[in-house]
Amino acid sequence: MTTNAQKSKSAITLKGSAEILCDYLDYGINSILFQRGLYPPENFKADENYGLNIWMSTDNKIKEFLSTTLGQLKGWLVERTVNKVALVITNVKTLEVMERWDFNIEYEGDIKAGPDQTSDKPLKQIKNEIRDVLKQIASSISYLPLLDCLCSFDIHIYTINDVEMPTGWAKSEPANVKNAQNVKMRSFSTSIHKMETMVTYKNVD
Amino acid sequence: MDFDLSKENIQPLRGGRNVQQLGMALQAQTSREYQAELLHQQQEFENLIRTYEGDDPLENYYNYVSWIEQSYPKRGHEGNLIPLLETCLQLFENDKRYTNDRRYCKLLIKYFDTLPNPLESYQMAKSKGLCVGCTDMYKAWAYYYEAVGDFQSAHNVFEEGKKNLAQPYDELEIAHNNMIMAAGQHLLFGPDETRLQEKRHALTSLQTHHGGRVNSVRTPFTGGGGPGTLGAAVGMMGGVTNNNNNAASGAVRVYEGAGLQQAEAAAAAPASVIAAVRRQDVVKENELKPGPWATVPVKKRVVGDKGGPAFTVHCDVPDNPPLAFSPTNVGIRLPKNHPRACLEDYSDFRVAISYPEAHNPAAVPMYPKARVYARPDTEFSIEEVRAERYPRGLPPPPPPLATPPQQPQAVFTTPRIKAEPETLNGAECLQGSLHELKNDIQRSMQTPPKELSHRSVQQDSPMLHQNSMPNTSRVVKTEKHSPLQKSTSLKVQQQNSASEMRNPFTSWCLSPAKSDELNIWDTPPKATPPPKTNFQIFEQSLTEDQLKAPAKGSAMKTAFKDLNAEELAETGSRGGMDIAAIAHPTESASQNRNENVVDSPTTYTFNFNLNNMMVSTPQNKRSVTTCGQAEDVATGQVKKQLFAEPAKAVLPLPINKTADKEKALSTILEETHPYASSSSSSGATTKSSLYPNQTNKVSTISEEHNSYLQQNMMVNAALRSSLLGNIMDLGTSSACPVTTPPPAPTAPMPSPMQCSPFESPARPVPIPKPTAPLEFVPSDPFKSSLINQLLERISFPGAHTYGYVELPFINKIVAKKEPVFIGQERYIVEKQLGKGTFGVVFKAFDLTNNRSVAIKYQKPANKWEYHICRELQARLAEHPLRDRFMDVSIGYFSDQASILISEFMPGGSLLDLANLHKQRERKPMKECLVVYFCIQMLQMVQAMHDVKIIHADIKPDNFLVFILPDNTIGLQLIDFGCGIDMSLFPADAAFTRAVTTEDFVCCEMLDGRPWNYHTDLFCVAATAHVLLFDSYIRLRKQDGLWSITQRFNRWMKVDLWNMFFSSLLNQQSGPTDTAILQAMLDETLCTLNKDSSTSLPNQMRYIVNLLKNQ
Repeated sequence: MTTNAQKSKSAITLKGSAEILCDYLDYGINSILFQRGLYPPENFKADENYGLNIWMSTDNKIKEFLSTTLGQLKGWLVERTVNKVALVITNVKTLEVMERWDFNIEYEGDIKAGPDQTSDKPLKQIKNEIRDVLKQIASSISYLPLLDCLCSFDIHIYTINDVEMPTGWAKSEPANVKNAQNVKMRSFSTSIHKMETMVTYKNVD
Repeated sequence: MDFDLSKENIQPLRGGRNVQQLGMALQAQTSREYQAELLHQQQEFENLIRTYEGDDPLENYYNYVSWIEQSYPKRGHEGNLIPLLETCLQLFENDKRYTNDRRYCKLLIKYFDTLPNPLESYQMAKSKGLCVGCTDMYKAWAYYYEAVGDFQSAHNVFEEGKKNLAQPYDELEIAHNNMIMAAGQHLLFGPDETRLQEKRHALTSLQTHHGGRVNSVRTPFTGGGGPGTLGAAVGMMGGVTNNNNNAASGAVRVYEGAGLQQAEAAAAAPASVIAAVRRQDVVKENELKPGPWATVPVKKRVVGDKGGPAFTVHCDVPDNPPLAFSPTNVGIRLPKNHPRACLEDYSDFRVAISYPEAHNPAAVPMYPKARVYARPDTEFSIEEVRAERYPRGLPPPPPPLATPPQQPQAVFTTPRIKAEPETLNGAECLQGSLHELKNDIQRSMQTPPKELSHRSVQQDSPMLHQNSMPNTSRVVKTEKHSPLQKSTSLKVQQQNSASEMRNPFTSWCLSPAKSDELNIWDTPPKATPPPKTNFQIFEQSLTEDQLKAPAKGSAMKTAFKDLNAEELAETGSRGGMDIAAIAHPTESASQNRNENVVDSPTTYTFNFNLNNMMVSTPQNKRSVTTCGQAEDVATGQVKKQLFAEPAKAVLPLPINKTADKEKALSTILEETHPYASSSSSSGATTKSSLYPNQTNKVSTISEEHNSYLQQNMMVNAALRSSLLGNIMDLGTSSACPVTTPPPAPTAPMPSPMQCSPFESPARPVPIPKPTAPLEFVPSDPFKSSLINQLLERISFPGAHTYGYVELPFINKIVAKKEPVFIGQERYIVEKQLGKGTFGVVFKAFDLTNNRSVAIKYQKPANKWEYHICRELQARLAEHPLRDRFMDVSIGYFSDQASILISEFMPGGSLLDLANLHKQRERKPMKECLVVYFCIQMLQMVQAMHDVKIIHADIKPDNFLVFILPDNTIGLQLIDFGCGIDMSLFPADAAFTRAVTTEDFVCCEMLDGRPWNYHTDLFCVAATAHVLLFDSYIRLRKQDGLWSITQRFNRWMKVDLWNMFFSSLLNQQSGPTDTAILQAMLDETLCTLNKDSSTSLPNQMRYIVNLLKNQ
């Protein structure tokens, strides 16, 4: 998973940073899919990373979908054209947006350095930060409402305007939750990218 | 928010949690401060429940339950959720309003979820007819069947719901379809028990709280299948139930006994579902049987055979003479063939107690020895010996211990019961309940076991908690009848009190009377508080008698009647007209009401009325005559709830003027200027001569205006050409006090625009657009559905788009140091200023504009207040008093909450000022200041009413004070949350909904009559009362005329205040006209100013300094 750039303790390159973000998103999204009960639990198996047991989907379709999406995202992250990734959970029947997980991306450090930009933030520290966020995601079930209907998920990627749309992608409307309440999680940063996680959910009462 | 460490202690909620509240609850577990805050909130909720008197008591309970759920995330007993649910559900179980209420249904489901056997509970609730119209009920019910795989029953439940047309119907259908799909999967993939049983850890609850079907396989549902329409569903019904009878489905049918059809057979629902459920589920405190303390088995020592116990409890063998040695007595078991120790039988061996001695003349016994030891084997006690003296010829009496304990009681019971029939016969009308009462008394006196049953009956009623003695309940019962059957109940009470005096255990509970107060409008209003002691009962009924006598007595009333018929109309006491109008229809009612005023000395009220009559001046003539007519009409129609054809003769001119403004803004606006700066207020007397010939014309004008616009234009022309002078005069008379600053001779009169403390806002003020009024008059102008309808009608935000911001969500605001974004603006929320029912007000600093603002956070969103504020600003665009009303600079709205940004006023509210003054001076404000504030308030209310807006929530805390440039104090009216825009209702609309702000409920509401503008005037009077006396207004009604119970101090301007209160409290209908009152107040102020100790400028200086140094 990890690239050479990450392994060399001296620096993390822009590409490596994008890789870290995508890894986080992979684990984070899988964890959300599991925690929120979108797919039956027997389709998940535990995978250890960041010092945590994270439940990853074993469903091939989901794996494939995530890997293509995140692979595409990686390219955009390197180009610095993405500013937000959103995991949208919708009711299958009514197509109502039940919940939205926002992963806001900010670009830090010396942006002018271009593709050669590096960061010397220790990988271990980054991983610890990621672990904390993942823990928060896992604990979000304590306040999120029960999804007692069939739900599906979708991933929206918010880019700056002049990005060419690859095949298989389509423009979509922003998914807003009605009666929204939102909770910010911790954020983590690789000193190149900064990722902030946030969940917006429907408040029933 | 960091919940990762405590997530195991948080019970997931079906509807999700509020993160702020959760955070606070978690912090409260460790921090004392938060704990105190939590407790405080809890107390607030409980207070609200306790003091609520409106018509939706469930709302408070529901909020409280949700709050508990949110704030006690462990769902443990510390939140006391289940007892609360039980209390609440039982309280409203038989309340027709809530039978199909969704909130009630939710509470019911919440409660059933906690029970060990929810299916039975649902069954019971259904047969009782509880919530049969709520979809939620069926969803939750069916879930339990589904959880055990009994899809057939789940289906039946849904069918039942469809049959009952549960609302919302589409949700029910969706849920039903989901269930059918799950059943299909169940069929396809086989009864996969593991899938159903294996709840995912993330969603399993700490307790038995069952989530939804999140763990079933998600394959998209492909339409079709499942009964979609009602007809099909009903058609299927019969077949389904038949199937169910011989259902041998593979599913495990655990709750077979509680099948639907069985419930149909056993249709007899329990009287109270909750009570029945509760009975099954009583918490057993100690289930252990009494037994040995040690768990270690005690070794038994057995001699001989091992059959019997080693230890027998010693019991006397009464008849047999005691054996010297019997093995059974000692406890040692001997074999039967064990040889006896002694073969001789000593059974008749007795030892003599005494040996008779020969009579010895030398020795004199100090007691009757011969009689004590009359027989050798017995010894009599001295008492027995003595007792022998009384019943001659009887054997010595049995020992006194054997006397039954009831005897002394019975001794005094009998005469009482005997006495009772007499008193009962003496009474004229006896009702069945009284008979029961009597029976109760007798029963409970004679037979203790029946007392018990009597008590248990009482405990079924939810309000009774602690009546331990049957006596208390009885007294309360008699209390209920007291107004009707005074003489009887009085005597019964005496008896009861007599019995209670001997009974030291009586404990009182207030609740039964409380339950009476709840439906106070249904029952004849009596509301006599439950007496604290026995003696008080007795006294109270006496005072009632006394009070009633003068009220009924003809002397007082006739005096007034004679007066008001002829003379009062002339002298102009409005109160007199009231009496005349009201005396006949509501005579009985007022009699009842008089009982309320227990402590009012009758002589005093008499004086008060006389004062009213004396106050009248020639100026009043016009208002009296017209108002008198209006009242005749009004009182005639009181019973119809609505003024179908209201008295148009008294339509005020100012309203006409605003109508003109709408039509031809420019001209009239110019014309309004003169009166803004024109003459003094003392011109009222000269103008009064103009009134008579004007009223008629004005009335026609207003009528025509109401009907046709074209005619209205004509009228405008006519107004301008011919009547202009008069109209303007009239306008001034009503409006001139508006602009006249307090007539302080020393202070220069600032022009009105100068006295504004603010720059007029930069935003454009839109021209008010008239919206067609509703065709009907609703009874409750505050109902949210109506408000929504109105908002739609005006196409909110309408013209007021500037500063209107819609946001996808608004997070809760808390005071903290770091800036928060609301929309595009950044604010630092500094502190909480106040808290109301629906919102919280914060002081904040607006970083965008660098100014202090007040933030009003409301949840749910209050668009109405924004509308009213803006509308008021627009309608008063050129009015000098425009900035005396709160303006909203920005309003943020999401579908959940709203935030209104307005000017921050450092001066605080009028209430704060009064309190500050009291704190410093130890006495209420000086009269002149109160007069000054009254003028100010009346001006503002007048201006507001002139543009057809009612505030409806005027109170001292809704007036903010600020210091004008000329060092006088100005008031600003805030909080238009309850505002009513009368232009949206038909002309002269009146409402019947009673507001429940304590002490600020206007007389019409108290009388149950329709009200409109008057509520504000009443509230001004109440506010003035607070300022003047430092206490909230207390009212009483005497002969149809409301007055305050507070006595005036001798130095006060009694005439003025009598006039002030009587006219403000008793203005019966029609729009506001406070000109006369304002003139009077002005006049008084002038006279007060003559004396330097009472002069306004001095006092004003003092209070301004007070404010500045605060």
